[in-house]
Amino acid sequence: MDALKQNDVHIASSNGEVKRLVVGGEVAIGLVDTDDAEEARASGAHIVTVYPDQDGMGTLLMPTSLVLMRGAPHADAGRRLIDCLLGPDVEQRLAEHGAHIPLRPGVPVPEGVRPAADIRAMHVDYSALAARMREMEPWLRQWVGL
Amino acid sequence: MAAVCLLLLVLLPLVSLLVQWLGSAGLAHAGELLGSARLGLLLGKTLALAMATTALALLIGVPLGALLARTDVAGRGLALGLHAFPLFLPPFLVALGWFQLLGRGGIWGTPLSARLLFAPLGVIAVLGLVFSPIVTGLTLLGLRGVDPSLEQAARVVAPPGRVMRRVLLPLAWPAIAFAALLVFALSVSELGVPALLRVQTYPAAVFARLAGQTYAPGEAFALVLPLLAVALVLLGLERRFLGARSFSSLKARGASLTTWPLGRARPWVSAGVWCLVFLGLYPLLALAWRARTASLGALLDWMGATPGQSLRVAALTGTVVATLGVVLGTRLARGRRFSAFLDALGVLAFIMPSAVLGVGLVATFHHRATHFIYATTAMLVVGLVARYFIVGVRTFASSVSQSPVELEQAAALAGAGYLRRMSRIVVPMHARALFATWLLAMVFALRDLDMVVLFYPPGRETLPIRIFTLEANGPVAILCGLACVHVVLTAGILAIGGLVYWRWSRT
Repeated sequence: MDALKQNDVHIASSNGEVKRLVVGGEVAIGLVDTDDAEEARASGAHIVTVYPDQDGMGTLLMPTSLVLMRGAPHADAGRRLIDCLLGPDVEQRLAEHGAHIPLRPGVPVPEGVRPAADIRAMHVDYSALAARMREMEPWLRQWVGL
Repeated sequence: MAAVCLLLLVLLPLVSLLVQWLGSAGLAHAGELLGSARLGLLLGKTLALAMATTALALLIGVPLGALLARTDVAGRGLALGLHAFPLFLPPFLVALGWFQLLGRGGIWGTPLSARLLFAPLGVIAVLGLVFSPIVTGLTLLGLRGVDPSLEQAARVVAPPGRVMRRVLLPLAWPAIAFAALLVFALSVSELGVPALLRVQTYPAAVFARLAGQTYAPGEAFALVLPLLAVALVLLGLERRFLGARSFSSLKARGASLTTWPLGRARPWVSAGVWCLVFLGLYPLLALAWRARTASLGALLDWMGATPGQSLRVAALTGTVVATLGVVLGTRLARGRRFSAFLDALGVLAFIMPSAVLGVGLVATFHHRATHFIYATTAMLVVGLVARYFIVGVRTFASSVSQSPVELEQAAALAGAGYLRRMSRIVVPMHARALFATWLLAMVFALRDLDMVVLFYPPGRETLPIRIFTLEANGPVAILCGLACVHVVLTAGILAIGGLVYWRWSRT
């Protein structure tokens, strides 16, 4: 991370800003989500979407998560909402309108987005990652200058 | 009762902050955090940015205020109104307009303009221009408050320029100094403009610990302490050098003041003034230009209920502030017991960085027992009233101080109680001031971002919050469209309010 910073990397405040920096030609490459890359491509920008490390550790695929809080006052309604949001219809709409990568095979993806089956995904232990992130947060804030 | 409300809204959050700080994990490494060279430099940089912004605002506002107050510049009234208008908008919205103008892909953008904009210089220029109307307006009021006989005596022996420099401006210094203090305080607090222009500031370090994944309230509580110290120093300066003069200086004299003719220089000076006025309006025109491709349907979708929420919160805030203004403003104008203390508390709440008051309010209200406030629109109103009640107090006090106290004393001698005196004498006599107070508080609440973004309940965001959160990822045309909606909303409220006030003045 320190070497990355010394390499004159630009630390942006959001994916949207990364998109603007790349589309505007201020930086050569930027790390974003598929929806930002797809928005840039659809707007006519001359960009290419690259899924990094396909020959190595694989690309980080971050799931969009739903959480039902323990002791939630309307748990049944929450479960019904979760079931609805995890349904194939919503998954297709998220893919069409937000360039999300569907997990169900057979759900069509927009042009420019790869199906999950075609992506070599990085193996991630999210529990370990969450614990490590909590430890790293003070250092990360220092790294970005806050 | 009003005093109790203020103590709850302002003093209690500061006490809660201290209690939280003492009891939180943040204390464990507070010394390391506060002693960090990196954060010390960030604080120093933020204060330097604020000082440079204040200097620029003074450079623009003092000469402009003097010209508009005392010369025959063409269209003075309209120039002042249009110059002041951007002040009533969230500053980051104006910065968004400058981004559309001078960013790399902007209407007039070049790599050089983008490099200059996305830098401390850009922050200083944008904020200096946005806040300069504070200096312009207070300079104008300060000059109009000068005893005309002093000016007339000076004019016998000196030309107008020398009279302005050596007599009038020095006499108007309390108003100008108050303006400088306000600009400095607002600049230190500012979160949206530096964030948009990619300049890191100290309030961002506090915000980063209250938002998203890196939630560390203990550290946030520790970090606001230097900001609280800055606020106390500013309050000390205000009390020491300004005190009551800062609100009494807002009184305009009834005697007619001579207008100084500019002669052959009038077209050039007028052109210069209007160029400066339009400089403040160009970013708004850029927003409108960029918004032209946004479809109405998409705009309404993205906007949701935020304009209604903004108006609701602003109107409620205005009503509470106006009510507090009537009660406490009258006390301040009449020099009643504890009024100076409450006034100082109000000034402190206004000039302290939003992060301090905001974090204190979170510490006070983020509990199960107060969930009915914290999780609702009431929390926004509470925060905005705490921040802006001094606007109501000072505005109403300025009006009351111009009326004789004998009327109220006579009513008291005749047996009229407090409520009867207020409802039958003070409020009717100063009804226009009450309306102006309500309007001013409403506009301040409408434009606020730095406070409400710290604790807005999910689903209750106001339009500035929606624009701020969308700025990162939203479509540009929609973003600019939402900004234009906010501009139109503010212009509408000011126009309707101004018309009502004007019609009222004529009856």
